[in-house]
Amino acid sequence: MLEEFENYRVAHHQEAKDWKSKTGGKVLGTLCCNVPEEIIHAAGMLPVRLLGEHEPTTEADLHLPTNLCPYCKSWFDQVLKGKYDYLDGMVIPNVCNIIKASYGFSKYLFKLSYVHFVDIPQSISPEGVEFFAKNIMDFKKSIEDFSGKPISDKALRHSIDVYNENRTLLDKMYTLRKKYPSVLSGSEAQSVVISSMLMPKEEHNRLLSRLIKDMEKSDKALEKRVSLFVSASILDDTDFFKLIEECGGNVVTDDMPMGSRYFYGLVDSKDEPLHALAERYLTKIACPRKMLPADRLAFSVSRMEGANINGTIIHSMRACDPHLYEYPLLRQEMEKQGLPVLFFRGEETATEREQQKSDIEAFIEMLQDQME
Amino acid sequence: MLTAGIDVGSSTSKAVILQDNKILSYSIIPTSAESADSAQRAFDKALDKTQFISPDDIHWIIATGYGRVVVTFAKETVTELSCHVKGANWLFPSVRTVLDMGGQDCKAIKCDGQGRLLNFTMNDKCAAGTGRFFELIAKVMDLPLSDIGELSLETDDEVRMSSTCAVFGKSEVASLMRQGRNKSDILGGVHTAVSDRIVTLLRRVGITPDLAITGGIARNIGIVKRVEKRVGCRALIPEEPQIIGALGAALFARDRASRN
Amino acid sequence: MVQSTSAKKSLQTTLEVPVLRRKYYAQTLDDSQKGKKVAWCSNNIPSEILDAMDVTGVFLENYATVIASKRLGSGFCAAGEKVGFSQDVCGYARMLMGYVLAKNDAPEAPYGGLAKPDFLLVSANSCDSRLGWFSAMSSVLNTPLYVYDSPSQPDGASNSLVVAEHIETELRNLISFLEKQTGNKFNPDKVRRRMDISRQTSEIMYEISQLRKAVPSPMGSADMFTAVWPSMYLSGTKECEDFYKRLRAEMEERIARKIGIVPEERFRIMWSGIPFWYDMQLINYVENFGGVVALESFYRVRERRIPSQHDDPIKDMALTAVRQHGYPSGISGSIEDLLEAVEEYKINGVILSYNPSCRMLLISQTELQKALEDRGIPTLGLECDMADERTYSEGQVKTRMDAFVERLLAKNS
Repeated sequence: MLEEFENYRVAHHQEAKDWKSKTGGKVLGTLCCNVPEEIIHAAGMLPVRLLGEHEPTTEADLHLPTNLCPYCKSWFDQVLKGKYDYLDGMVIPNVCNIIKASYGFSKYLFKLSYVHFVDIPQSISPEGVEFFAKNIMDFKKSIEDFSGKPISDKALRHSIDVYNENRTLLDKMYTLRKKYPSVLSGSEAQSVVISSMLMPKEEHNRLLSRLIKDMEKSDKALEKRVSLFVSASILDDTDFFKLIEECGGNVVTDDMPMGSRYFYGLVDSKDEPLHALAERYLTKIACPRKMLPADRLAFSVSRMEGANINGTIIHSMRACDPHLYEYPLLRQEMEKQGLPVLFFRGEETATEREQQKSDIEAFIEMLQDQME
Repeated sequence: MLTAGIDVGSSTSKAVILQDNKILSYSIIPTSAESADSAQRAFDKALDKTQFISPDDIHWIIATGYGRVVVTFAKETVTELSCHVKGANWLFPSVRTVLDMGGQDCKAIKCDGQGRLLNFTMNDKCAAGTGRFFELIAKVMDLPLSDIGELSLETDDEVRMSSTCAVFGKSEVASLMRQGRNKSDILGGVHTAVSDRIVTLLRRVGITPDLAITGGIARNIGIVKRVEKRVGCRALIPEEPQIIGALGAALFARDRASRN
Repeated sequence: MVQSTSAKKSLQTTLEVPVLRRKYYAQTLDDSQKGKKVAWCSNNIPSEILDAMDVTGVFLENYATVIASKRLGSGFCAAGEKVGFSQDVCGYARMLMGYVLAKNDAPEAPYGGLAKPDFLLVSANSCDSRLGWFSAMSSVLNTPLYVYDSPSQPDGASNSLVVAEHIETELRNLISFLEKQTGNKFNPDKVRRRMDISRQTSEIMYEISQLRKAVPSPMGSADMFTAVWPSMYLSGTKECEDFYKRLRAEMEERIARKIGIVPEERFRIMWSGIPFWYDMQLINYVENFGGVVALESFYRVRERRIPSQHDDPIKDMALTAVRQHGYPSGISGSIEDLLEAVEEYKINGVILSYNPSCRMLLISQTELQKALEDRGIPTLGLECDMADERTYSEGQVKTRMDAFVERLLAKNS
């Protein structure tokens, strides 16, 4: 069961290509949870989250300086190396400076027939929601022009339902693993979430429903490993969580864009669709680039509800300004909650294994002592 | 006409005595804490080797390298960037791109047919990809520095290094050794990681053949072969790769002297 | 005693700025004493509105450059890092966080320190740092923060009424916030008056920018990095307008008498990006070789300010923002802009600063440098933080500059 998610995740390029040949549909690359994917889905296209790779960014190095988010440099490098040649276009949201700049770079360097910038307000307010709804309408029109077909209200509502179902299922999966961590490891859960950003949603819903049934039926043995909470800026694969597991720990819940921030909060299906999308995507996604500290910290802490956490690991990618500014406040909040904190400033998408391993081992040992 | 070039680097100081078109002598000595003193000693040593030349016989002296400003007995200074391409192009007139790796930095330099500086890019912020890094690795692996290049080629299962940082690289190597990985495999990984960075540097200035490699790194066959493969052309290696900066300075001195 | 690191200026008018600046900071402290509300602001908060609400604005980025120019940057940065702000983040932010949070670890603050803020104002849609930094300060100082949004327009001036409407809404919300905080009523006439003066001044700035095309250069970046100050912080005042009238007059005289920055101008450089505030004399360095830094990417005025777009000053601000985009957008826009400057100002080579902690600007530098080299325009990259002098190695920087000069002179010979 879990292999299906993991196999898809690992072979995501080939899977996307196969989907294209099978359906004749278009694949659009997305960045960040802030892109209203339902619009893409309603047009019959497949949104795929752009991912990095563990290799030197030799092509991107010729166009981008160092001191940048390594994840961004890495996916950029993958595009330059031709790994994403099957993409029909990209959709880029107004989030951080690097992602914003990649809009201009994509038009300048990549040979894509469609690159759209979704302007998202950088502050959360009711007026912001109204403005965002208008931009989502622009986005919808732009996709309609690109596909040559209008997106019906019915199709959009259906896509919202499909996405809401996925969010509900992922939330359920998290509730179960928080309660019974032995049933699903952190890396397995992350594999499920990441594959949701790559797979056709209906397929993912189908597999995930079965997984949850299996989880409910499993024997729910007592968790002996140290239970950890991870708050991270971007971990675009399962390596870091696997490393934690190698060291004898288990991540039972998280606050991160490739995790709970992706699926938290439903789109109001009773509201007008564009407005409902704007409302959910602007107010529910706990992104530090937009959300102010009080709400951000509250969200982070709330992710731990229903779980028995021994310690917190905060992982910020190097040069990730929104998360690095938040770090001192987040750390303070965790310590206020009585949780020991381990902090990593990630150098690159490839794990700095040795140093991280010894730090994590020491941290887990300390937590184990405290458990006894 | 006799001219001299003095190259005061962070690790070594070099002097070249030039008579018109012929290298009369040269010297290479370690740079001490007193750069001015090292410059003098390098110069004196090169003079001694000629046996018959005294300082007053030298028409024009130019100093280069990071310690160039303290060489009071030099008439003027020229940067090592200009000097390296001047020297390399004089030795190999077909050279248009020079890769120089010193103790503390790595440079990719472009020149025209007359050896005039066209463009350059340097890595002087990060230890990985400098002579110092290789000294560190050799020490960690308990191997002579002169052997690691050869050993790095004796592998067909090289480790893929995940770190590009010297600090992490050192501990990654140490841990790989503890895991019992073959020394050649580890060295293969280290050399490939460094070559990748070197090639990026070269690609930033653009690689126009012929390519010359200067500095201590030219003696590391592991790097030379990897760079050649990635770049797709043979690299020209001077017989004495460390003196190219001083040679270039002596050549500039010759040009200046003949104009006056 | 800290050795002066200021650039050597060529114009008399420029020398007036340090006095104006001291006076300005002293005034903010005085205002605060007298009970005026003080706002700590990020650079793009419209000062016309603050003035109309009788709020004293303290612009933190400028204070950061003051600290850095006195070579106190690393001391304050270290204090900020001690309380957890990564070395990766904006030097200005680290310094101010150090000032706010770790007074005991930081050096003594210039000008007697900053007036205590009653609230913080930040524009969300500028750079990532500003929002993170101001949010953190608001938390730590327990002081209200108002976040004012303005849309992206990544393809340049959008001329979109939807966008203009949003900008207007945001501005009016900002005004409501200020009304609540101060108890004052918003005075649109005051804003109108300041905007009118500001428009007049921008005409003069445009002319000054055109005059800089002259050979030899009548005013270079060594002056402009200082001379731009009144337009940023005294915008809309008579004092500011008069300053630039004097500056323009001095430049016109220099042009008439063919007085340049150096006796014999051999090459002209453009500086792309933020300079290194702790060593502004670096800008003068090329003058030793007959070169001048004739232009900087930041303060070139590319076009005349468009006329007033509406009688209502707030609607005018909003419509101007969507009809006239100040800076080039996206990488191709930036490249085009740079090439245009090189041609119009007869630039022989470009120095690009790669500030590791200013990602908004950093991200474009590699591609800009590549675009220039591909067209045979000599470039030099310098990697140093704009405020944290620990990142600066004089020997390394001078070697690169020397080699760049060698290259330029070899090209011309």
